This record gives sequence, C-alpha cells and structure tokens, in this order.
Amino acid sequence: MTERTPSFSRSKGLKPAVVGVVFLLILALPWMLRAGLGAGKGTYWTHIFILIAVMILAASSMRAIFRTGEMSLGTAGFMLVGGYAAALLTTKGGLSPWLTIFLGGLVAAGIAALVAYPFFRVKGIYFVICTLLLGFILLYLAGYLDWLTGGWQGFQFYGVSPKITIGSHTITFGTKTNLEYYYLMVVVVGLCLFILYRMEHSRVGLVWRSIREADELAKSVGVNVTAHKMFIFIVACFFTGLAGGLYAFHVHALSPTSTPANVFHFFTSIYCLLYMVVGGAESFFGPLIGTTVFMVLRELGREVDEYWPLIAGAVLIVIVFFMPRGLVALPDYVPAWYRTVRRLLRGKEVGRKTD
Amino acid sequence: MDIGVQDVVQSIINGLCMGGTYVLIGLGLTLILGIMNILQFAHGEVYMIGAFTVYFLCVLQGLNLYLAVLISMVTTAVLGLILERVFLRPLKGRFLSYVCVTTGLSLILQTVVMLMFSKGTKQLPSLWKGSFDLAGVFISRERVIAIVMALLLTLALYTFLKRTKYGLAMIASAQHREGALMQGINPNVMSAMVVAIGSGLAAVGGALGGSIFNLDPYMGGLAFMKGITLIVIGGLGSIPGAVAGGLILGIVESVLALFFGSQMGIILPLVLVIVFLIFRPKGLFGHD
Amino acid sequence: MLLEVKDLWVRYGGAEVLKGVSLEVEEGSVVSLLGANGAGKSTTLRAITGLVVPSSGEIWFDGERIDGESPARIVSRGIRHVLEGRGLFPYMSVLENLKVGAYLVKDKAQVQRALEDIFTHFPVLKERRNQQARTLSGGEQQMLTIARALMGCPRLLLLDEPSLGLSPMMVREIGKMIRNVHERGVTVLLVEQNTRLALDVADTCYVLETGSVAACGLTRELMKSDLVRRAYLGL
Repeated sequence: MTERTPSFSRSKGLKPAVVGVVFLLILALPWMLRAGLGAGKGTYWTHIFILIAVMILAASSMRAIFRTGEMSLGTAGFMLVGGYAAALLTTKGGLSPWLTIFLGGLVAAGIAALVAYPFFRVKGIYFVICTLLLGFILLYLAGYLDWLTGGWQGFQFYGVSPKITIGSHTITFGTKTNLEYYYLMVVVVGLCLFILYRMEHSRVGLVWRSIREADELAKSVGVNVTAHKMFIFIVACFFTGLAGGLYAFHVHALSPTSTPANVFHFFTSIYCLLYMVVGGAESFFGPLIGTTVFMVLRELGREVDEYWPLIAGAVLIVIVFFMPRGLVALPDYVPAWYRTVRRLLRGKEVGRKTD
Repeated sequence: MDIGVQDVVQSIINGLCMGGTYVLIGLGLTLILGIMNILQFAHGEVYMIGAFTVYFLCVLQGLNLYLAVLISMVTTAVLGLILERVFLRPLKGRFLSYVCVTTGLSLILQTVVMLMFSKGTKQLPSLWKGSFDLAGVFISRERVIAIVMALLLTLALYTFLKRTKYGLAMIASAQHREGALMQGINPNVMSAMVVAIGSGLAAVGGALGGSIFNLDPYMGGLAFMKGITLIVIGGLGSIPGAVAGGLILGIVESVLALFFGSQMGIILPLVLVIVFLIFRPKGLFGHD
Repeated sequence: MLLEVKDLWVRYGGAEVLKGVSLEVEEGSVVSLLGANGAGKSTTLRAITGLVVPSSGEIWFDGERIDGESPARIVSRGIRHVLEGRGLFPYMSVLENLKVGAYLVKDKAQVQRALEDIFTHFPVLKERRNQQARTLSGGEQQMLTIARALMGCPRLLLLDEPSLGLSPMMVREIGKMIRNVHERGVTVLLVEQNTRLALDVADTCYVLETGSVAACGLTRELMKSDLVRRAYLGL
C-alpha cells in the first residue's frame, strides 16, 4: 500500500515558488483585506482567519492521530479543556496569558495521558466512541462545575489579553483591529505545524506510518505500537488544547452550552474531521486546505447559514465517494475527470457514426 | 427536600419508560454493529425521522397516532434500506469512509428535517391519557404503554432472530462472518435486513420519545449517545444485553436525577461507558 | 470432471501465494491436497469458494466458470467448505448450527429429513443438540462442522485440515466420516497436513510446495515412488 504524493509536490522546481507565494499571502492577508473591504469588514475577516488558524491547528492534530491508525473525535473536548484552563488560570490565578495558554495545552495533554492507557486497550471503533464520549463528558463537566467555570452561562473576561512589553512600548494581542492577534496566530500555529511536520518526516514518523499500515507487522519487529500511539495522542491533544487556549484569548468568552454553534460542541470535532477528509487526510497540507476552503465558503454563505450542516454533510459524502484523496489531490483528479468526460463524449459520437 | 417512596417509584417507572425508548434505538445499533461491524452514526437521526414522520402523519395529517406509528415504522425501515444500499454497501468497510459518510448523513438529515418543520420543540399527542392509581402511586398510563410496546417489539425481534431462517442467519453472521458465508448466506441481504429492522425499531422508539417528551430535529444526537451507552453496558452485539443495558441506563439516570439533579443523570452513564469499555469491554452479556 | 482449477495465481499484497496451481477432481472421488505449512493448500480451497479472489487463472465447477463469483453464489452451486478452525457459530446451539447449515434448502421437509439423517449417523450431536457449539470437544466440533456442511446436501465437500488438534483416535474417526460421506456420493477435496489420513482416504493426491504443484497422481502410484515418499510424504 504505497502512498501517492500529490502531484504538485513531485515537481521540485514549482514547490519553493508556491510556498513562497503562499507565505507572502499569509503575511499580507490582513492588509489586503482591509484595503479591499474597508476597515470594518477587514477586521471581521481577519477575525475569521484567526478562527481558521485555530481550526487548522485542531484539524492537523486530529490528522496526526489519524496517521497512527486511530481516530479521535474528542477535539472539541480538548479545546474546551485548553481554553478553560488558560482562561481560568489567568483570571483566577493571575498568571500571564502567555504562560496559561501553554499550560492549557499541558492540561489537555494531561487529560489525554490519563485516558490514554485505558483508551488504547480497546480497538478501532470503540476508541472513537471513547473519545466522542469524553468530549461530551468534558462539556457537561464544564457546565456542572459552575463554582469553577461559571456553569452553563460560561464566563467572559474581556480586557484580559496577552501582552508584550519592550521598553516603554506595550503590544497588546487583542485589539479592535485583530492585527496583532492574527500575526500571533501565524507565528504560534506556524511553529506548531512545523513541529508536527518535522515529527512526521523524521525517523519516528516512518514508524508511525508502519503502525498505521500494518500494526501486527510492526509489533512483530519489536515496535511498541501502543506507546507510540499514546505518545502521538498526548502530543496532538496538547496542540488541540493550545488551540483552545488561543481561541479563548481571542473571543474572551467561553461557555459550554451544547448547541451546534458553540465551538465546544461535538459538531466541531466532526467539522475537523470534515476539514481533514475534504482537504485530504493523507497529505500534511490537507487539513490546511480543507479548513481554509470550508470556513471561507461558510462565511461567504452566511445568509444561508441554516443550510450549512446540510452542505457540509453533502460535501463530506461526495468527497468520500468521488474524491477520496481530498482537495489536495485535485491536480490529479482533474485530468482523470477530463479524460473520462472526453471518453464519454467520444463514445457518443462514435455511436452516431456507426449507426 | 424530602424524597418519598412515591417519588422513587415514579422515578423508576420513568426510568423504565425512558429505558424502553433507549432499548429500541440500542437494538438497532447493536445489531448493525454485530453484523456489519460498523457504528451507524446516523442512527440517532433515523430515530428522529421516525418521530417526525409520526408527527407529520398524526398531527399534520390527522391520522390516528397508533396507525401513524405503524406507517412510520415501515417507511423508516425503507429509509434504512436506501441508506444501506446507497451509502453503506459501496464502502465495504473502509473505516474512515463510513465514519465520514454516516456523520455526513446525520448532518444532512438533521438539517433537512429542521428546514421542513422549523425549529422549536413539538409534541406528539399522548399515547393514552390519564394515569393509573396503584396503591397511592400515580403512574401515567402513557408511560406504561411505552414500556409495554418496547417489550412487545423486543419479544418480536427475539422471536424473529431465534425462530426464522433469516434471523438465525443474522446471528450466525455476527458470530462468524466466514462461517456464515460458507452456508450460502449473502452478506448484502443480511446488511439490508439488519438496517431495515434496526431503523424500524428506532422509528417506534422515536415516536414513543416524541410522545412522552418532545420532538426536535436535534434529538437524534442525544439518542445516539444513549444508544452507545447502553450497548456498551449491555454488551456489544448482544440482544439481551441491549435490553438490560437500556433498562438499567434508564433507571439509573432517572434515580440519579432524582437524588443528584438532572446533570448527574447524564454524565454518570457516560462515565460508566468508559469504565465498562476499559474494564469489561464485553459488557454484561456480550461475548464477541 | 466436477472441479477444475486451471493455472491459479493468488497474490497477497506483493507475495505470491499460489503460482499456477492446476488440479482436477473427478465426480465421486476423494482427492487430497498435501504439503507443508504455508504451501498454499488452504488458499487453494479459499479461492475455490470465493473467499480469496485469484489474480489470474480459472476455476470450473460442473462445466461452469466460478472464479470471481461471490462466496454465497458459489456455495449455492453445491460446494461446501469446512473451514480451517471449523468456523462454527460458537454461541449457537448444535441444532441451530445445523439449521443454519440448511439455509439454502427451501423445502422444510427436506431440512427435517437431513436433520434426522445427521442425528442417526452422529448420535453424539443428537445428544448435545441444545448445547452451545463452543462447549463441545474438538472431535465433536469437527463432527458438527462436517455435519453442518452435509445439511446443505453438497456435491463437492472441501475439508480444510479436519484433523488439526485431534487425538489419533479422533483422526481415525474423521477418516471414517470421510469415507462415509464419500459413500453417499459426495465428492471430497481434502486438505491435510496429516499425510497418513490424507493417503488413507484419497484416490488421488496433489502435493503443493510453496505455491505450486510439486507432484500429483494416484495415491498408490505416489506411494511407490521413493523420491516422492521421502521428500514430500516424510515416509
């Protein structure tokens, strides 16, 4: 079972150029938005891209777990833990947001570590159920422990933001323009993705590939499959918690109300799955593409937001049936479709001629 | 807050009744899991559609409630057949694919129903108004009916499984896939039947739930969670397990809610699931 | 020729398990397929009943080509495969197992007759008919799985290592059973590691070695060849 790399990564000369352009685009994005849409809408769309960055981190973490052959649908729960931990440690513990966001990730990783041992004793689909239920439980706990978390109403903490003070100059990451936070996200998420990418392309990454494709075989050559899976799970949950913390300090309001609109509802986990699959679960860049495309489309279609789950579900199904390798493989699919269409058209013509 | 015997008995009856609806959704889930080895994420939505079909037929079209439930059972079973044939069979057990497709389906179905019927909770008419008076304890009649219906359907299922050729074939497929193939059993026929039956049962469950409680397009998600909970407790792939699991879940939730508030009633069963999956993955009755 | 396998190739993810296996089974005969572990014997049977899809080659049953058909379809043609490891339904009773064996039989009266027939020939099964299959001893389980296959009134019976894990006495019983089945007119293709048993019951033998046929012929002829005896039959 060999993995097909998307065609664009096979053409070596093209790749650095594409990467460079994309990088510049990312850096220039908020300014382009402001220029194109005006300050108000520009700020709103910058906010959207901040959310996209959060979800890219979450979706990439989910993919990391998927690469070892398991599937976690507890994303929403871990984001909740990371977000709440970060927010509470800052508001009630007085710690700096820089520290607490990181700690939020650690708390999420801690919970992952706690449940890792028992969860990994069960196979495939039951592991998925466990993670799904864990997300549910964490959500309910957040509502139930209202002395800690502010209960079902949640709590707000406007005005509390990460800051950097250089000399007499203070940069607040959380202003009306969203610019600072955007660049913060680019740096932090970029760093996290870089770490994930390096892990995947290291020698350890090869071990993970082998676990996914033939874990009995891997076991027989002495690989401690469970230890590796647990390790990835904990690391991925750290990043997911981090994403939650970053989210918290952007929106400054957290609540566990279980409506689909809430980011901590299990729909979020399913959307992450969707972003990953639609973008292309096999490629590292799949979640990036899937998340961006989807969330942008969703925003563009805000008026028909009621239909959104319908569209999302339909797209997911269509992709699974017709484009299982995801959008990332579009350069491969398009020529194939073109050929099929041409064949069909030509077939019709031939029929007419011989009649 | 004084909790008297009366309250406890009420709570147990409520629990049995809720348990009955859980059992009806859990039976389908456990059968599909046992025979097709997949977890049908859209099963909660099938339950919900069953309920809404009854709503449509009974409230909007004026049909008799029981007749509506019967019709809903059939149409939902047909829906199940379509789902299986179009969406599940072509996937041939590719794990990620069917998780995606069934979750995608559940999103679609929820939204479609919401768009057709508008948000906001609705109610089905009562199964049987009034209540019984049993030695001073008032038991609502409709809850008793619900329990009886769930019981009858479970018995019917059991009879089908144990006494008909196809039923035995289904059990056989769950216990040894290849062994069943070697007796000439067509796995596609088995899949189609099990999804149809499971969906029909879920429809009745939904109708009962909708009658005693409320209807809303998102009720499927919660029902699905309950379904998973009970089949894990009772034993994956086991029918008696599903029944036991459902009733236990219903009663435990109800009693816990009485003493500790409704939130506990929801969290604790979930914790139980995880505990069971870890320490006794077979559940109470399971063996596969 | 009831069964013909022509130049069968089976590949499992890069490894070639069967490399051009050909064999013939005449109606009414007993044919044994011998060979060491991993030689491909089970795979051959699995390819015949469709559990494994051949990469190339043909399989013909009763004049019709069956390779590529679904297992259920192939079984409905009158081929029964007793799987390696027996393939019983462990938590179903003996009686239920037998009933499932008759799944394809439409006539209820015929099923009843077959059941009585089985119980007459295998009184132990009658005794234990309400016991769960997994509670039976190894020998009884083997008896049950063969009986179950017979419930379908097959024309061709494929047996995959029926002697596995059984005591020498039980193995002799299995041998008797096979001869019994043969007498009823059922054609048998037997895969065995127990060469003694295989040679005892079979008219013709094929010897498989790492995926191809190393030797074949009438049993008594093979027994005469010193080379064959020593190299392949371990005698």
